[in-house]
Amino acid sequence: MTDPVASRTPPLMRGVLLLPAIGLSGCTRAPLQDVLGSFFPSWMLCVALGAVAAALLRAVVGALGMQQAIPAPMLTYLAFMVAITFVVWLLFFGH
Amino acid sequence: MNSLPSRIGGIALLILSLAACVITGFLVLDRLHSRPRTEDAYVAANIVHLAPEVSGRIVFLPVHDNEKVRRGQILYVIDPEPYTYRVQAARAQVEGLQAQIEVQTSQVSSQVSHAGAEASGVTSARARLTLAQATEGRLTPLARQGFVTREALDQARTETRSAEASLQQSLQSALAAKQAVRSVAPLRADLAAAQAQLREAERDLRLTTVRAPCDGIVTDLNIAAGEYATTGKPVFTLVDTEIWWAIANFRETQLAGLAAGQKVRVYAMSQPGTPITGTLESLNAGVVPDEGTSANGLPKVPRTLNWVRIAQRFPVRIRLDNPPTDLMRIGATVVVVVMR
Repeated sequence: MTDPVASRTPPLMRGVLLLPAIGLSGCTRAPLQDVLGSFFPSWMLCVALGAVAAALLRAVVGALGMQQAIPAPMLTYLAFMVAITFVVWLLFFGH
Repeated sequence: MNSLPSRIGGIALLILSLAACVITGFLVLDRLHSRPRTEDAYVAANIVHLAPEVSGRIVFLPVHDNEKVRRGQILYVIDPEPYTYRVQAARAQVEGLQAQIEVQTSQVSSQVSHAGAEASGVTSARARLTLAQATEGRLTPLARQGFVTREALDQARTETRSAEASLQQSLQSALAAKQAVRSVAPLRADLAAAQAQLREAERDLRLTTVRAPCDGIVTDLNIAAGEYATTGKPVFTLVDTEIWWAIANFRETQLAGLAAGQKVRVYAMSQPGTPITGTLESLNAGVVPDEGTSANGLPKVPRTLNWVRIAQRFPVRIRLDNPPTDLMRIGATVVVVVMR
């Protein structure tokens, strides 16, 4: 059994690193997001949010002590992340 | 720890996640198909390479680089002095020809009168001949009877011959006088040519002042007054700001649903918060293909192992409605979404 803190720090750190990017983008609905003069596709932003959501889900699952109850955790978290990515894209950029 | 409810919860989480992934994935694909979009797009406008139609030194250059100009505004003036002289020379030629035509016209009328006089000389010669022939006719039977002398008859015959010769001479003179009447038609043709030359010289003089053919922005201007401008060689460039376009390169798989008139949303990356609306104007008809070239008279077909072919992109022209002028620059990055 892995230490929950150690396992969830890297994705959270990633999320923290992406926060300025989200802030810099100014939440425009354009299909490109400007990050300090480089234009990133909006789906990358969605993927980042999906990753953060998956990390949060893992933290919640860990807190509830259900880590062992999840079958194929890699597949579960990946599917959750992709689903969140798609939902965010549909909500904000799928005009 | 591995109680039944938590195990059911875990399986439910997996199934729900997978289901959500598939459903939202289909929704995303459907949206991408129904509203094609591309990030491979830029702002475009037509440009005018402002080349003068006459050569000469630029004496007046009131515009500056990046300056906005209105249609008809003076952009630069080429030294008009030589062109003024050319107009004066052409005008002098026209006036000279007009004077020459007047002189010639009076000469022609005098020649016409002279021909008339010669023609009336013919009538008088013909009358004299008739008289001489009548006299000869009268004397001939009388001479046979001996009432008139033979000398008188000979004289009458001589008169007749002489009158005939006079008539011939008069006829020839009348013809010569008629033929000598000159025409002013060549001079009139010369006058028409000279007038055309004058108009051309006046046009050249007018074109020494170069005006803006459209509303626009002066660009690539790095010369000063005094530069020599040559006919047909651009002095600077004018960006036509009356109409702005976005050129969006769409993949060939996306082109099928695109048609002129569709509404388009354009995001200028210099200000992506306020999208610009546009109208799809036209689709491109062709780009240079990667293959299909020939070398040394034979088609060049490279050997490839391209199992995965990349879709070709074709430029689509989108006319922007009310574009914000401060954002419009040729080459600016935009993102285009077709809102069908």
